[in-house]
Amino acid sequence: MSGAPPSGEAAASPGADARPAITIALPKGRTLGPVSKLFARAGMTGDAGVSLASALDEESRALVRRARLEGWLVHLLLLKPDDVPTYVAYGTADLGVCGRDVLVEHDVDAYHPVDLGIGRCRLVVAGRVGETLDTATRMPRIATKYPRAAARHFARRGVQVEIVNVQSSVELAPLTGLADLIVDLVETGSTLAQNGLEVKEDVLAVSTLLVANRASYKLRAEPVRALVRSLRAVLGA
Amino acid sequence: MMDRPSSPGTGALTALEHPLPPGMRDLLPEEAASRRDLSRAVLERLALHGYRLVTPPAFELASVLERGLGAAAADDVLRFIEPESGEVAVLRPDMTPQVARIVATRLGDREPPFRLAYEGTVVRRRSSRAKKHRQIPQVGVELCGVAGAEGDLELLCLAADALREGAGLARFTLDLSDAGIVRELLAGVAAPRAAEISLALSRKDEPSLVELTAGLAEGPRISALARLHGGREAIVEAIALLAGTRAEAPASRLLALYDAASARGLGPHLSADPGEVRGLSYYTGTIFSIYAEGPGEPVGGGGRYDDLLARYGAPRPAVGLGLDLDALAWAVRAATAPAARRTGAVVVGPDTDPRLAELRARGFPAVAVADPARARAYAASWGFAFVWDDTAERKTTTDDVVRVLSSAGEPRAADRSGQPSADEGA
Repeated sequence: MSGAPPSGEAAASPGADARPAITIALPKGRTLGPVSKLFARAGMTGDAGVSLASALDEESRALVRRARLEGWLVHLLLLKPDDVPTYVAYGTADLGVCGRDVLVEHDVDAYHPVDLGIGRCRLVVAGRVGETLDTATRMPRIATKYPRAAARHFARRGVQVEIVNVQSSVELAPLTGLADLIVDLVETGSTLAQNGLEVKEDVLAVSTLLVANRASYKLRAEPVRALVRSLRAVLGA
Repeated sequence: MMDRPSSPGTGALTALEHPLPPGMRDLLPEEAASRRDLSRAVLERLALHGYRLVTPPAFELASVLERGLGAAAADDVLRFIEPESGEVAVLRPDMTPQVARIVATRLGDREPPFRLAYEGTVVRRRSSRAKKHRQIPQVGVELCGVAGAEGDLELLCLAADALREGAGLARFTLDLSDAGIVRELLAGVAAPRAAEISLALSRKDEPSLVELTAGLAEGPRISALARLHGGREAIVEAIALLAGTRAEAPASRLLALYDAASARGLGPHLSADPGEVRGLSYYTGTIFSIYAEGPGEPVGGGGRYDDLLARYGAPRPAVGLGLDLDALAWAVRAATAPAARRTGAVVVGPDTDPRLAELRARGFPAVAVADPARARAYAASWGFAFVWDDTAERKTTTDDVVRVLSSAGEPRAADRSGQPSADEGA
């Protein structure tokens, strides 16, 4: 299996170059910039004297980028955000950077040792301004990109709902009558307000986390903990 | 009687789809053979330590088996109505409660301690892991009747020995913790909240821990546990953190075990994680997980469950170990170069050929194929090491064939040497 994690020898000695000491899965898109800056402050650089930012240049089409952390070779995988937990759960990536919304939705079994404090927002239930739904007389329809998190939230509150899975423009659903409520991420609430919607309930506080495969956390403790330590130091956590 | 070999390519096109339930799979001959070798090697090693094999049934009555499962594990079991009795039965999700039942109800007249080994497949309704395997082949042991550090130490040494000498795995980590630490810190916390805190702790999820433990006297200590992982120093830190609480005793117990295991030569394999919680809720003391490069998940684990046998009416201290053979096989593959396994001979001749009986008597698989060309193809396809094709001019003696087959039994030696094999002349 070419995607199998490297051997422990490489992890133990920073000099061994053929295989990376650790592999980190990073989400492409808007969190990549802040994550790259944070990792650079934590002491990660590109390989061969390159800056981390240019190693992570989104223009490049390379799927695996090389970086250094305290002399260890680090492989960085640029993935769609939803794929990050998959790579980490299987141990193909030792570490990953992932929003709590994705972790909760996919019930990812991995360690989350550091809150990176990036991309803070909330997963909320939102609906039309001023409208109160009588859930006792009618089963509301909920449009969301987070069907499992939404179902869990309403089940916990003892409300029976019908979940409608949509992939984009969730705000459109209550406007067109597809759904009564939505469960979606809200940063400032301005998109909701523009569409005549308001937050009805909080589901979850979301931010971007460092996630770690359980086996990697124990077997590659040295490079993993070096990164965890310096991230905590930079974040003052 | 014999089918013609299908021409390559047509098989895939003509085969109907016969799907398996999600998470179920077949092992084909090569993998099945290497899997059987692995479990046999581990079981033989366990037997050398006096662990005797018991074979519990594939399913049991829910009312009996679930007595030994925690509430969380009960969500995980596959249930069905047993037609004979109309009672609810469960496919075993875990063999430890079965062995506990056997010890408590069937072996009461034996001299303790009870050293029992088991092998079998457990079935879970859903895996907590991303991997969707629901049938998990396991080999394990239970040591019942030896309390405290003495029994824990026996099991840790046994685990290391079975991995090293049985599975042939040189590099692995035994990650130790004690279920008593978190249990004591959460004593008095309402069960649903305690479950949420345990889940957050099992993920080292500090922000959630801080939120969930707000207002609890032990909250800051529980959150701090999430950061303690490493070697002996992590346990020393935990003892300092927990000083004066009821969790100090289990933390000190963990340190004593760590030191005792180091003294027995396990030092290079040990790590400690005092904040670890393992899923199965019957653990009362020492818990451990075994990690090795490759599978990205534990290859095994276990712990002390001193209350479980009492649930079957015969209270005894007990400690157990289970190895996940899928994960272990992956780790072994990752650690040692995979070797093509070829064994046995295809004899060119009728199925009454006396050479077949001669080989079988010497312990080697032998199959007859009448046509020489088909014999080579058959041997290559099914992994036979030798095609015994005697002609009037060339005769091979049984001793020669046995010599070739014996060296083929050690796959790496056979790969490198230029000995005759099934591929010769094919």
